[in-house]
Amino acid sequence: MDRKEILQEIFDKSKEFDDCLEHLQQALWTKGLAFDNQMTIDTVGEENGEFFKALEASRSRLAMLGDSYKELLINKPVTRCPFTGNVVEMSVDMDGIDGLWWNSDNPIRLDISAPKTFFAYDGAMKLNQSLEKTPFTVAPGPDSPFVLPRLLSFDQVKAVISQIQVGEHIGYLMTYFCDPFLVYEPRINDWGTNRYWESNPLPGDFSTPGKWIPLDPLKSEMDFDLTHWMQKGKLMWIKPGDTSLRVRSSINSCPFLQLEGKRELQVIKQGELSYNKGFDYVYRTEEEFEALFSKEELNRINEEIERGDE
Amino acid sequence: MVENKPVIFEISTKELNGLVQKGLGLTWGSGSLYFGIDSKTSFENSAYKELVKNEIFVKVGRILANPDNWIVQRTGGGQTTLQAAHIYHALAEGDCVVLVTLDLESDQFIINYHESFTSYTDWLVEHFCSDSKEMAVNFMPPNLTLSQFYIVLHGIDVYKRIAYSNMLHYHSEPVPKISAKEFYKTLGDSLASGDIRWLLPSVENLIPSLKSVDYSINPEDIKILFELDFLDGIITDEQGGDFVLSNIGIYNGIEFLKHWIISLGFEFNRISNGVITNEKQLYIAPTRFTNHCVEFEHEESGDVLVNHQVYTKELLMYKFNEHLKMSLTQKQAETVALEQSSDVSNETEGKETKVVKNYCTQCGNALRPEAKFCNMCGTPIK
Repeated sequence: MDRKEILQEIFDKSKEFDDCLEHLQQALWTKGLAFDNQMTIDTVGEENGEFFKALEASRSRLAMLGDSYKELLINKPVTRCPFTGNVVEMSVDMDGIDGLWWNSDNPIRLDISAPKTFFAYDGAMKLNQSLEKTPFTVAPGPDSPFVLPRLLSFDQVKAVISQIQVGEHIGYLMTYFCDPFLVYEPRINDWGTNRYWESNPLPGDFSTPGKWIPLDPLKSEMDFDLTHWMQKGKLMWIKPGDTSLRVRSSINSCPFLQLEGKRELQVIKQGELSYNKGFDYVYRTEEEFEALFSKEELNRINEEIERGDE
Repeated sequence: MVENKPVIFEISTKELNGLVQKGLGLTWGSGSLYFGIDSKTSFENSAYKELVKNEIFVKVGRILANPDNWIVQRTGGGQTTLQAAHIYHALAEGDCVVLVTLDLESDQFIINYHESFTSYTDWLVEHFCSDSKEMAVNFMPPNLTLSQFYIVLHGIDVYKRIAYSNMLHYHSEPVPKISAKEFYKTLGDSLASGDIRWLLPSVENLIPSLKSVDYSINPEDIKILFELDFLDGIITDEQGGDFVLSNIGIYNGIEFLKHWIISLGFEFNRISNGVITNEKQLYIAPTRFTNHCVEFEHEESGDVLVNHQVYTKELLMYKFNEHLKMSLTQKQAETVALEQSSDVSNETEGKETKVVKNYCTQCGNALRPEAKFCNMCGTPIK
């Protein structure tokens, strides 16, 4: 099976799985029970046996298809460490965001091949107008590259931006490296996912290191002014299409500066694009604020504020 | 400030051999200061007779006579002349190192005993390196070949050449440029000159073992100067054209014309069963802006890859200690890096740098130096 066939069957099976699950949940709810993964055909009841078997069959087939998809992934050189010069290889699905690599909640990825200086990776994506339809959520970041000052403020941390074509979209990979290694500092969610693997202890963490941690970047901690960080020597870049992955520092010819965009966190599901506003406070100037609303709307908001409405 | 000052011994070059052999009863092993040198074995100067009872000097003697590690440190470049110092270390003697220089004026060996190699690093960085606290841009990323690296260094020297030439001819060139023909000719001349007042020849003269590397300058490697934006373009004419320096080429040129302090070359040698092996070569060129540090990585193929980094004073100390620890303790790089990363927060706590971190007394969160309160639990930081 090729990638397209695998994904199509995964999407179809996912729907079958969801339908069966929904039926079982509803059927059990009427009996005052909640469905969980420990249940057997006996506990769900004879009348629900057909749905239960279908659910298990879908689950098993989905697992097999997931393995088949994983076999198609290949670790490819995507960036280079600015300290050691070693190449970093990742299995980014470059055929499109419909690949399970891009499943934000449950991504299928190969282990990254990277030097010890590799710390974290995040990303952004300039989306083409036509979006792939996926049953899962794709969260490729904002539409232009950014850096995290929280990490770059450490002397030993540097970031490298590289460009990856993902189907019809342009992906921007932001990788963070450190030398000496940075300890006791949380990293950031892996690009396009809602978690990262923390192999080191964190402050106040007394458990054995090695666990998944959810740490979404807040919009307020993203800095899109890349020039500033390049001038400080903290950010480097790789020329799009440069197979030698030469790490460069010059701002003169850098193609990643002043890229226009909405700079909002993009979320795609079933081919529909929306923006994750999160809970982050965004500062806007009076002029920017006025540009967002009509005069009538502004008057209404002002009146609501005066009345004390939420 | 150097906290651990070295213990200094000044011994006449005519006496040291006898002092060690006869006074301390030691014989010179391979890689030692006097190895292979046929010299008289008596020592006459009664002033030195007390030294054989000095515990530190006895230790120094043991290290000098039978070292396991021997580092040659050469300084020069910028406005300074070539000087050499030898650093000796013996595994059995722990972390201490002995640095020996020859003072031609007094005809004496100046022997500095450092209780630990970190004290030697402190001394070295305080004396020779840039005090920079801010990170600088690394315009020369890792993984250059030796040919590419030398072309980049010559590209930096070219600015100085243009500036001096303009000055000699009462001429001012708005756009610094050099003919392609002259660039290549002077590149060869520069390498052959051994003149350490220029950046390019300083490298092989401060690290002579690099001369044994089998390489040749590939004229095609001029592309690296365009890739790294040191050159803006080429103005072609019948003579073959002129290379035009970009802002980055000019910036680097000015840095090394006006702000180059000195250069240091290090050859790390390991001595095992009488065999001396060159393990590592480092080149450090401090300027007023930053500390340029170059490591030469020898591939199995025989090729050399050049890793250039720019370091603040604090990072340079860390990295130099890492190199020393790796070489002297003969441990693997990963083990040392792991030990170092846990050491750094303990050893240097309280200093103003992002490498060093304070921790919240309430929740253990890592704090930035300027933190006024903990960003995890809100505890105010005094």
